[in-house]
Amino acid sequence: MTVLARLGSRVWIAAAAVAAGALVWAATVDAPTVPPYLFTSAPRYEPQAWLAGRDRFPSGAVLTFVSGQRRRPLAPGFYASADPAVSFDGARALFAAKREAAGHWQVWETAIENGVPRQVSACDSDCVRPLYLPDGRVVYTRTAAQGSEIEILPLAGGKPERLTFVPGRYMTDDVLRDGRILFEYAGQGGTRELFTVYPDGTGVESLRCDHGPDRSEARQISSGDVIFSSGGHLARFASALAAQADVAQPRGEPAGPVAEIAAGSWLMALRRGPAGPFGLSVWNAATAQTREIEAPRGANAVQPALVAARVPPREFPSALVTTRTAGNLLCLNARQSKTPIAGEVSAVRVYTRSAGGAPVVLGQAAVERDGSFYVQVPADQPLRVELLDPAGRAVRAERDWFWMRPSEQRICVGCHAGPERAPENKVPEVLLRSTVPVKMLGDAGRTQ
Amino acid sequence: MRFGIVAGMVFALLLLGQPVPDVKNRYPSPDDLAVSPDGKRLFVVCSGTDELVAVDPLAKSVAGRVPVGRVPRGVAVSPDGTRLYVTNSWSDTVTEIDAGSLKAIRTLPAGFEPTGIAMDGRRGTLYVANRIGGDVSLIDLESGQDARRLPAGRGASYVSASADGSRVFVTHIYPNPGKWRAEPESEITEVDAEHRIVASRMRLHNVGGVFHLALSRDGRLGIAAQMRPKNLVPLAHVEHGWALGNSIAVFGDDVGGVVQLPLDEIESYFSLPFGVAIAPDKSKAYVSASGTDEVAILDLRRLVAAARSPEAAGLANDLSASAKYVLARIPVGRNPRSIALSPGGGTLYVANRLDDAISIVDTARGVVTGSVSLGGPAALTAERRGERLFYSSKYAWGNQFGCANCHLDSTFDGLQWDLEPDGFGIDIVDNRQLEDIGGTPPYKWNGGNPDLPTECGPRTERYFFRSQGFRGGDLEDLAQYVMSIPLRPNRYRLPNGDLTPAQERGKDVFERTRKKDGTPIPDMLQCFVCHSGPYYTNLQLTDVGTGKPTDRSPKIDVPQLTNVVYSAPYLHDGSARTLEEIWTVFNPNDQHGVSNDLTKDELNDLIEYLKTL
Repeated sequence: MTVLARLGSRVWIAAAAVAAGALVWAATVDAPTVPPYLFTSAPRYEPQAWLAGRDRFPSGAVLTFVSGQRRRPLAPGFYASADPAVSFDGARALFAAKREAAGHWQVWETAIENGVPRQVSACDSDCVRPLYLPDGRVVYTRTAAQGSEIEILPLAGGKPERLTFVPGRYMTDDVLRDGRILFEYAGQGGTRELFTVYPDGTGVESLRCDHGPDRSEARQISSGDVIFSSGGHLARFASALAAQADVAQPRGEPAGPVAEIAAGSWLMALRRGPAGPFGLSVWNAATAQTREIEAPRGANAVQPALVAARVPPREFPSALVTTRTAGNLLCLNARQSKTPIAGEVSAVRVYTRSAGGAPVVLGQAAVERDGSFYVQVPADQPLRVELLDPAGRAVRAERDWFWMRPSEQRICVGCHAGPERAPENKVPEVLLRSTVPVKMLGDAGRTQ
Repeated sequence: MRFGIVAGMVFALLLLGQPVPDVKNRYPSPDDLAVSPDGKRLFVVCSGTDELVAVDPLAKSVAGRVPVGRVPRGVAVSPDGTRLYVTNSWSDTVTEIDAGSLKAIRTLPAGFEPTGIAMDGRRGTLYVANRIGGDVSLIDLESGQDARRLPAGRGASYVSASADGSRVFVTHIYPNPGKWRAEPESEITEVDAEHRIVASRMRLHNVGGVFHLALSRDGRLGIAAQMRPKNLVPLAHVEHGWALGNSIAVFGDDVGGVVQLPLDEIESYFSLPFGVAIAPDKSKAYVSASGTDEVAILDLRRLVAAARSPEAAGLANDLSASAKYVLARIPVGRNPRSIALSPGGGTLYVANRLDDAISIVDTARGVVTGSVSLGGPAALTAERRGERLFYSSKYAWGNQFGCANCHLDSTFDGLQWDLEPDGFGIDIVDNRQLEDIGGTPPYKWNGGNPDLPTECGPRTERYFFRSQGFRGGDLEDLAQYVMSIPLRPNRYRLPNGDLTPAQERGKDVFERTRKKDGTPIPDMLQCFVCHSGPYYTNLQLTDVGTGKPTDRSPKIDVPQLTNVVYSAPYLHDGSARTLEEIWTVFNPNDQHGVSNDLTKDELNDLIEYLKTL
């Protein structure tokens, strides 16, 4: 932020030059066969800067609307604008922007044709990467030097609600067709993993729970596949597969998110070498050919978003009772895991985290013969589960923290079972013993 | 008494197999189909218009129509192609039809609610699965008699015979009776056709709802469409296959037993697998999903390899397993039911029940190449729109299930579910049947929902679907359909409406106001006080002592008793396996009506009467 303030008006000039350069360049290429689109052009694009609390567009950025030969800045008058998201009817767009270099990024909305931008958020830090929800709300990421959070806000304005309750670094990516919010979470070591959460903050979990390589900039395409950047390439998660799969992609370094023009035809950011700028190319998987359509001089072209109507995701009907203070967690078989557990499992211990980040024991409960346990945990706090052997030694500890919302009812098949594992149909022994959960509500670790 | 007489007369008419008038204004609703041996004709049973429709697949047009009995559900073609046999599920008969002239020749008797049908041409025997009877009729074509009944699974419904006719396999849609809250058990009943006996019962553990099945021509591989309900774990969410596992049972010498394999994916489910066909060259199999409106193409070599693999036993709950053997899913029409291949296997026909049409699939290319309309009204009524919603799985998270996955063919599933959103293991509920419930509010066992829009709207989307459900006009249409679901014919009333002596005695017990020793029975402990009115319910909540410690309230919605005989198990949580257990096990203090002074014979009489309601 300080660096941006020092750059001051020089960045403004650079941004204007980028836009002008794009205009000149556009006249020299064939008319694109792609539908109208938005993209972000920026002299400097540092997609991972947010992991360190820095700006992804340290020298400003300009959102450009392209329709045939016509092109113009989507929202003139900003120091920087980026992160486009098009409404389901294709008529409006959300974006992140700031008026001044030293100001905060806010969420804005505008009609794509003849629109006057309207500020949606009023953040006291940077609020970026907004996405439309089907129920008339917007989800976005609030970033700060020490971390980020995902929040939700009515488009018409109102009080933001937090969806993430573990300190860390989050970034919104997409809203899946099933209504879940797809986001990146950088856990220990800074590796980004793709997670999902419902718009009421419930059901947070890793999309595939494989603790795989770094993944970012994900977007779901019409087949249902989720396409993302990983290790300088694109990769995908498919509904039928538990593991990450390859995708056909052009040579060079593509970067997500992709914008799907048609099945097998994507508009994407691509650069030929690791040091060069990103341009926008149309990739056709059937012919294995690319056609570059945006290569602004001295700048990157990234974050393509098609301006077209699309089917809205399903709304999620929340069942939360927000006046409650705890949630119930049932595990069907703690011994079920994709990876070996280092010993016999006889008990479970649940932790929360202190303000300083230190683990704090909430309580301990027995694990039944069939591996089931049932506990009640405080809502909206970091939680982590650890499995213990008869001697009280930890034989498996969750790598990441999770949370539960007030009155959330959550069940896991096992510890690290993966989303591909459906439950075995059997009454958990713990429920035959009692339908009252062991309370682990943080009162000095006392258990019942 | 008057009610019984009228109902008996109605059923007597039904038994005569007379089509209901005004057929042209009803939707055909194709349910089952079969292809002639020469491939030139497609025979489609239309349960909505009570007819068999002959289709010319080349011309893609209707070639003829034959009125049959009420609500036909199954069709078989004789091996020489000269005869057709149609099951009339509400008439309890089979119509024999001359395939050339399309004239009905004779009506054959069958069991209660005949559904699926197959023919053993060598022995001149029809095998008919009787859904309510839970058995299979062996109908001798020479004598025209229902010559032998073999017990099959509960809700016996679909039949397939091996190509050599030596074995016949039968599936059933309701799990077999078992202990309370035990894993549902189903079976594939194997019949030795030569000796006319049950040769084996292949166990399908944790399965409830088995539909069509098909056998390879060499008889070494069978595939049955099935569901694996997750009714014993609380339905806290839907992702991870939490409600139902849509799958197949693979059996036969090729796999050396029975192996259950999923058709679902992690985020995209293959809801309500229903029809099955196996290619003549055994290269591929096809399964329809009647909830998600598609047909899956399975690679049989890979399928058998998966079924024979060391990890096969663990694949049933692995949502990434289907990638091993599912080649593609093809979108077809609404609510695809039966499917059938042309003799060479080059074309697949799909009966889209709620589109009143047949999809024609080119199996080499795996694409729909055409459609044949079976007629019916062009305009959709609210009931029809609601029926489409009822059978669609496109509202639940991941398209995992719809109303019809648990209310099979608009009835029930015989299962008890842990649906409670606020806590686990409490308020276990038996799935209630939906026939003629329009006049029985409130709904839900605890009476928590005052009307069907509440039951089917916010509650369903919030606690069942976990996704945007039925709203606005859709919800109104759905409620309209549910209210229109008719009572199936009652098989226990005499055709003339009279009661048998046992039923008369049972009626006296039902209506008695004094114990056998003359002591007056308090009003609220007389059967007919709570079970009163046209539906045999006073629409009130009552504590009859059957609540469990895990129920939040002992007060239970007094259930309607119409067709109660079909809907075992009983009580709000399904803990009584039979009507008799209601009094012999669960009424120790006479809180659920005074019954402990009754003898075994008197209870039997009471049950005989209840069967007629």
